[in-house]
Amino acid sequence: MTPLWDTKWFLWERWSRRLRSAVLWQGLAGIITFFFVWQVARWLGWMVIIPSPIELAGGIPEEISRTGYWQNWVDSSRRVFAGFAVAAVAGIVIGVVMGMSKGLRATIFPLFEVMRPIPPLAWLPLAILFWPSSELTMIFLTFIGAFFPILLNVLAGIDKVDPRYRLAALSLGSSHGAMFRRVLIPGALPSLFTGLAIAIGITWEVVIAAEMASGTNGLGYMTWDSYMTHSMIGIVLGMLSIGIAGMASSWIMRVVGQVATPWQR
Amino acid sequence: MMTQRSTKSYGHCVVDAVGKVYGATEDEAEIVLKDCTFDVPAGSLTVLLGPSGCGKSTLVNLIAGYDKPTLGRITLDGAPVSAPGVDRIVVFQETALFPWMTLLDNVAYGPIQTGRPRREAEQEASELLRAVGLAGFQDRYPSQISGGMQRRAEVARALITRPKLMLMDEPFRGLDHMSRGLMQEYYLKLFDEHRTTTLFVTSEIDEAIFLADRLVILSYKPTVVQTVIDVPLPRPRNFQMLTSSTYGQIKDQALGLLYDEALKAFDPGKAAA
Repeated sequence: MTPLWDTKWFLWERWSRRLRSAVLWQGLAGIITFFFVWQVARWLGWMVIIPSPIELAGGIPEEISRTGYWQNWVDSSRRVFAGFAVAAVAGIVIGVVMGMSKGLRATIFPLFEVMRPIPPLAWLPLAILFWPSSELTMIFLTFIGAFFPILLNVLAGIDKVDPRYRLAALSLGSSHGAMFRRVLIPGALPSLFTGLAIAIGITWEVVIAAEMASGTNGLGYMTWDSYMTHSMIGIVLGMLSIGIAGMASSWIMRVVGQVATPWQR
Repeated sequence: MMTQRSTKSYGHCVVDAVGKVYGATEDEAEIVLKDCTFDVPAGSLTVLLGPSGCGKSTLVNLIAGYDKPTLGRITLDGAPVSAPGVDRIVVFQETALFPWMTLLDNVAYGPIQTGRPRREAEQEASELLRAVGLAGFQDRYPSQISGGMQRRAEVARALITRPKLMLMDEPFRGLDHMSRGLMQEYYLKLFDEHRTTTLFVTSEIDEAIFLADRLVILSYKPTVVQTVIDVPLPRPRNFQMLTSSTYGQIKDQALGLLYDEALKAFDPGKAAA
């Protein structure tokens, strides 16, 4: 067994290497340059409508300390993860069933091919009429946004499992159950996580639009409400918050994916 | 340890007048195999040698039961082959180790599937991994070890199921020259210990003669068996034998046969004209 100090040393080594890596600093340099150019543009008297980074830095703490700001995060996140979770379960189950059965695939696929190009927001009018609350309407839209990318990636993942793995599993005497659990599912996992990462990004796009259209709280509503009340700082803060929320969600998805597929890389 | 050198009395595989045609209609029909007849004697290492692109892998698929012959029949110890089964195991080109399982799980997978207790299967897998020089690597994933190690782990995964017949489909293809030579020597040592009846497919003439008790030389498509040559080199073998006169004679003979076929494979259009 590896002694503890060895693990600690390794972790330290990994972190310090990350700190020393050029990629991290290049990324930071990109972000700083962006804000710098923005600031310079304001100094030159351009884009006067938009607050400068310095004005933002001054105004954002006050906006954040207002009551309700963090509650907006909670409200939007809840919608995102509710819609996403239902989509993940449905997408995985239906995707696996379609991946296993040619007949069911032939039956279901054409229907989905018609529904898939309908943008999630095009469902809004119908959803408002159908669902009893705006909360359910918004969750439903995020579900629609997340469902198809998950389903399609599960299907692609199962299709792409190298046929030699199936053949090898057959020669090794696999039962149907083992073929499914130990070969097809793990073989499709990397693709599934690609789908989940794409889907979580889409759910944020959808929930923001849905909140602007029919919400009374959440980050999307906050951004829209700032527009209605002419709060430029509120608008930009809303946008930044949404960006950070989306980035954090994708990051979580990636980490979960890496933990679930330890054989990759 | 595995030191017995008994010649096994099972694994005798007969390929009898087998043909394989792909394509549904007469227009698009492609005759891949045309009348292939040969047998793999029990306990032998029979090598299938032919130009790349001839139906070698197709033959392996038919014997493994992954596909059915259009004509003719294949038997293993007298019983007709019709579906994949645990009495035959394929070691694929490149590697078909499950990437999501550690080496130990890969090797133990077969016996667990056929009902052996997990503990016992893992114990044997562990011993077998040690026997192929992979002690200390059993918790690694296939992507974390070298190509040569992957091939050895896959041979271990095949051997643990004690198949009657092992089908090796160009297993060392893609390895660099040095590793390939080492793998051949290593594999022969294993074979001398186990004597599992083996059909070994390759397009490398030196590899073929070095390994084989018997060489089955195929033509280019549509594939027929050109010749069967017995290789009387004694076992255990080593690389010095590659310079012996017996070796030279066999190579001359095989090369003569292969050359024309390789030419057809090189320029199929010209051969057809």
